[in-house]
Amino acid sequence: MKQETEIVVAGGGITGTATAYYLAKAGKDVVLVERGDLTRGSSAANAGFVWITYRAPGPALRLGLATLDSYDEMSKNHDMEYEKCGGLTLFETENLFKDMAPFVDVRKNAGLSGLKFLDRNGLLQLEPHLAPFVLGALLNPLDGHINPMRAVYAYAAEARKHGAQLHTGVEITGINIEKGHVKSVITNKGEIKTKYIVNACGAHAPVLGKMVGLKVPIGFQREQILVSEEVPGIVGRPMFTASYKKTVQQGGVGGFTTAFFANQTKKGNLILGGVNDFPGEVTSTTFEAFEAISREAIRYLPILKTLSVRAIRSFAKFYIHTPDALPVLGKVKGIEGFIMASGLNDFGMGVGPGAGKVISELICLGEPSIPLDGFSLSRFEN
Amino acid sequence: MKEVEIAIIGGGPGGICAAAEAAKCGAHVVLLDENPGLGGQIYRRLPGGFAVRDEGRLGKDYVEGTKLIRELEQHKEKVEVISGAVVWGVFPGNEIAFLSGDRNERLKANRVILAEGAYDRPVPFPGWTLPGVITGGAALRMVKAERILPGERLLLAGTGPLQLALGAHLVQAGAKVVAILEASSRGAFWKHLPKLLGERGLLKEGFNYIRELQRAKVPVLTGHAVVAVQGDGEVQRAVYARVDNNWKTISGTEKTVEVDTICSGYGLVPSTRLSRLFGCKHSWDRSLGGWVSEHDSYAETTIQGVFTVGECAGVRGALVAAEEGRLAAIRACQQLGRLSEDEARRKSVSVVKRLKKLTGFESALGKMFAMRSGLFAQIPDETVICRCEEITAGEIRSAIAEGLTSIDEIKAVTHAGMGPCQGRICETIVSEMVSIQTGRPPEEVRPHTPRPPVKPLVLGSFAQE
Repeated sequence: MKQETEIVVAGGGITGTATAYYLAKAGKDVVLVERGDLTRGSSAANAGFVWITYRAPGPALRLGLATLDSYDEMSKNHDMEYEKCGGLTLFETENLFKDMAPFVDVRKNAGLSGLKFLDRNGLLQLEPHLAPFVLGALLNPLDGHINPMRAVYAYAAEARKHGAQLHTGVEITGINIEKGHVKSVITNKGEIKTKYIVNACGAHAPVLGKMVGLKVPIGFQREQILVSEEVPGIVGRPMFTASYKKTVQQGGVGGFTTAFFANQTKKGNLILGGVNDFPGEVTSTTFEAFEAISREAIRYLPILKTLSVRAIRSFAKFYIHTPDALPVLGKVKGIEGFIMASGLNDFGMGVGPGAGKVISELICLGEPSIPLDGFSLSRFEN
Repeated sequence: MKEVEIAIIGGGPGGICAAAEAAKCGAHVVLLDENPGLGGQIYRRLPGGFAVRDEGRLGKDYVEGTKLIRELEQHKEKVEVISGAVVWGVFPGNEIAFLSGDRNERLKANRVILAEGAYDRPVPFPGWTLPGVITGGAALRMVKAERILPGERLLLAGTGPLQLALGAHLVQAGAKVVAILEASSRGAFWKHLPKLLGERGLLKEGFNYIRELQRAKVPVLTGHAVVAVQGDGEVQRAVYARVDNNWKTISGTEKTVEVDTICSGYGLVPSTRLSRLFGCKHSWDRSLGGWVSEHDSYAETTIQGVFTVGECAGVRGALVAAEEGRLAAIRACQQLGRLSEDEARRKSVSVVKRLKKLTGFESALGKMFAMRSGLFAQIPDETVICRCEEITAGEIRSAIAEGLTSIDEIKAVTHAGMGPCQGRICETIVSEMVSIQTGRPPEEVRPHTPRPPVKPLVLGSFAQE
């Protein structure tokens, strides 16, 4: 491992590897360190949605659009199983059509001109296996899906190709600051002198923040997901419901919410979700989630019962959420060279590479192509 | 949710003896077994509808199995046996989820004894996915318990004394066994065989097998292994050759033989899906069959109240399994307050004594017939390793060459181990491949993390609200 570099990127998920890639491509001297293996956090355990419909018009949506461009470019050389196949938000009540109308109007004018309401017939033409109680949907042709782990390895490979060094099994234990400037990073494998450190540690961003006295308000929300055996042709594109169900566990404590979603991989495995709760940093799955997800999946896609489709795996992902559901990106006050790139909240695969690109611009050019003011850590100060 | 004092998972000798012993100590036990009847692999019963007049003719194992099952039947009021129960998950608080028929059920156990058993070691060679290639264990089950001949002209390839038993059973049942290939060298095999059989009280049976094989003129070729299997849509020919001390093919010694069935019998791999779900610490031991859950002298794992007995704790045979089952039950009952410390100690003295003798001997056996890496080094790139996802050796090797060295990383990139078997088949092979390619010992190759369901689970098994 190098003892001196210009930039250390901390974290081997989608944001970290994409940041390292864009920096290396711009000719920068970059070392990425990851305490475990690459793609072990939220970038490994997620449903593979590339979803930008819900990004607020403005910088957030532009980060999403930049991400799609990045995937298109990366797909030329890497099979990340990326498909811009469109995404569906399912409506179960007539009210949802009305409620969503203003939401759609502002996005249509901000880059999502393809957004379209579908009635039940239009929806069934696209997704014939959906149950009849689903009355319609909102289609965004730009949404899609990806194999998240392959995506991370693709960005990692390209970063290496452009000269970045990537080290796994390296844990940062301290950061040296001198006169308000980042000087070096201490790891379990030695010290690295550096001008910049990019905190792309996702759920663990607060740990790194704490080392330099910063409070990073990132929390965990667990989402549990089931994976089915290969049954090609059940759903054509990722979809999820606009409504959710709250289940309070016996005794009134704990409790979780259930919101149906489905996605199908290239091989035909269904990714089915999801159950959300706040147990802290726990990646285990629960019997109650199996039950809730299975029931909801069969309710929306009755063919799963007809075909006796089997689950072969389960996993839990983290939504890394911030109080205002926006990412934390960019410089921090008082510590020159410490850059935040975490807190992507939901749909991280729809933002990560875009975030990596602008962080790289921030470091290389001083001015990113998308303004990051709204994402600064200091917004939480009050 | 139903609550029990002790849940035992697995109805082989370890599970049966654990249940009987726990019942004797006064505990209430639920025994969950995947099979339609007790016995496990080794003591498997004949299917319903068979009438047995003279059990002795079914072999010593069958009689031994009957003895244990009878012992358990004496404690009916304390032991609930749930047959056909497929355990697919464990959740915090010792909650065990299982499918019983098409229904999903759950129970909560104060203590858990895992007797998951073991499965046939997968050893890939070109053509190993052709219909007609089966494992030695499957062949033995077919001919012994199901009374079905797996083929007409068979070649047995693997290692260990079980191959002789399989060969003899096949010959008796009227099949043509063209040869038995034993990978270990001539000296090692024949020298240790009588001692091996004698220690298990199988000397007489062993000699009968050998006589049977001699009478049928079945050659036992030591220092040989199968190189490839060929055929159009099914097994038609096998290529075999001499192997060196590391079990690597000596080129130029290849021979081809016409067969319709290959029985691949390279010993067993401990089943550790459930102990891994429980979060028990595992360590790697080649002589025990690979990754096994660490445990103390009372079979208790690193997770308090969770015990592991029999083959899943290291492949050492049925007699060890039975004694370990009893020992775990005694300890669990002591923890539950069913036995005082003194009573527990008194009860375990003779068990520990028997176990000590057995384990010393069985681990010597394990070392002798442990896998050697030569077989894995020579797998051609185009051979499929992960059968669920159809991932080849070449794809796995390029992932390793790119610097991926843990099972989970290789899985993430290649999909090997992502299918319904959750890596049961390919994990051991990939570990060997990583070890060969990187020069690191297999114990440093981090194993895969299983997730529920460890067996495929029908989504419709949860009743609709």
